[in-house]
Amino acid sequence: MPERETILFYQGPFNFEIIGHLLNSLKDETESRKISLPMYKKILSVMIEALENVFKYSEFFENENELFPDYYPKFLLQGLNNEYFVTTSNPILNKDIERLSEHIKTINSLDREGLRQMFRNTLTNGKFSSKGGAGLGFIEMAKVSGEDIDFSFSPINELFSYYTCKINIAANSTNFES
Amino acid sequence: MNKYHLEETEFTPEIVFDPDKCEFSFKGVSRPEDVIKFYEPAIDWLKEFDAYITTSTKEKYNANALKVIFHLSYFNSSSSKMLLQILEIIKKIQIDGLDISIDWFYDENDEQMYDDGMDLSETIDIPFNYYSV
Repeated sequence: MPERETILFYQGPFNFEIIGHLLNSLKDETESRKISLPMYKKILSVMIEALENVFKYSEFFENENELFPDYYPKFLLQGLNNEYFVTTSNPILNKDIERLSEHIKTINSLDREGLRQMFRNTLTNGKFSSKGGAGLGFIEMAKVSGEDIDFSFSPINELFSYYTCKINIAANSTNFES
Repeated sequence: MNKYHLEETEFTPEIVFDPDKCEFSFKGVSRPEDVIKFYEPAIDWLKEFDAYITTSTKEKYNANALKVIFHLSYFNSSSSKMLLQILEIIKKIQIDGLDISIDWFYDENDEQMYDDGMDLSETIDIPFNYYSV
């Protein structure tokens, strides 16, 4: 079976500058690999939302020194033919697992029109979190991907687990791909 | 009212509200580190502009419809929430009596940006004019 090629990988503390650096690296890779504009925009959207999710959540564990370096957040972009795979991992408070799982399960249960409806409802009625999240990131990623968001949790200790989220981006993942 | 002008950066769009030219525009990328802090001054300016609409200013602005131009190459999902807040004020300005047209520009082949415009237009219930460039 052909193996996915690693295009970008980062593990370490997350901040706004790191996100910028990873997005610039994506731009360079897009040029050297001649990735089409529609595909670049899809990867960019998913990457930004995925990275911002990790960044906005990171305040909850930045002082938990026993988690590092083993459980530093991770970001991985892989490619195989014209399909791309975004994977992020980060520590999550065990008490947040249920809420997050339910949110992703709801998103996974919706078709394209359902996602669009949920996006618009959240846009209108959703409130910003204390970190400026609008609750739209996962919906946006699912809209772009067109496939289920794959997620898992592996226990670290009584307070934390290591959460992994995988999103596939295929060339035909929306109706608009040329 | 004085013009509002914010320069474009790597993470934030250029924003120009020019009442004399009857043109408001947003151009570039939007993924500010703090989306609320970034858009708050623009929202405050628009609210002030709305309060400034009187019978005489209406005549002045309605000679040429107020043009709102969005030419964004990318915006993150939290920015879309702020753009909706901006559109809500623009809708109020329209209800208060100004003729408004909203032009949504997107790069050729960037259907996702077209789609994002449709999401905002349908959510706020104002038709946009779409231009592929």
